[in-house]
Amino acid sequence: MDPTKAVNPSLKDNITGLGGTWHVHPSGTISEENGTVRNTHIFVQPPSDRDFKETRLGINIVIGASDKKVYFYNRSGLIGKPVKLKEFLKGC
Amino acid sequence: MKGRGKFGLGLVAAFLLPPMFCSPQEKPVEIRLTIKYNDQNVPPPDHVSFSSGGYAAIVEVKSGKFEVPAEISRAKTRCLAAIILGSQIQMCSLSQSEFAYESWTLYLADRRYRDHTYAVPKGAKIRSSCMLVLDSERIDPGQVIFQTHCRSKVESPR
Repeated sequence: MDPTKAVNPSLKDNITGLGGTWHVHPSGTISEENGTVRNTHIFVQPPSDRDFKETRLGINIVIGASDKKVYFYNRSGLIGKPVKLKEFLKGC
Repeated sequence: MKGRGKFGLGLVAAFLLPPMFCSPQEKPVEIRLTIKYNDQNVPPPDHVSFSSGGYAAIVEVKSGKFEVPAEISRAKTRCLAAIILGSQIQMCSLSQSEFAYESWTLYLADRRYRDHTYAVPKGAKIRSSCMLVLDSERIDPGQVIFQTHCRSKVESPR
């Protein structure tokens, strides 16, 4: 049997990788004070509604630059718990 | 002359009408509101109120959604107020850009927040704080607004 000869050649590309896509959600905080009230703005770190909407086949990744966590997701939602970026990079 | 007058009038109308038809209809912004208290979903209030300068509006929340009045979405900054589970919530300094997100989740907690903990400043008093998470299917990433002193007990009338 020759594993390189696929029955459906169009599916061949799927086995070359995990698929999906990855991107970073930026860090950065803006704080403003108005008397005793303090307002802090920060980017959401986990995948957004748009990320879920535009999910690609396979495992998609969002890296939170602020919380330093790696989130895995697909169309159904988050996959497992986020991993610390430090742990994620250990294999590199 | 008579015919020319009509032609002139038609020409003026031709220039005047398109802007009327082409100007985009100002559609009220609709926002889905979810409330999470101590990590549990709680029903949203029946109404929320917005204020900006001298303008104030009480907006009905229907099936977890509300429409932002045009006067409010046009304003530079505005405050959102609501009564949720016996607490008066008031979030101010909301800018126009925040209304581009169609999904708002307001987190309230007594001791600690479980989600979006990265947005909580060190030493913040949780019981009197609010965390508004803005999300959208058009904008990535979303935004978290953490505000101190935004929550107080509603005093019951004597």
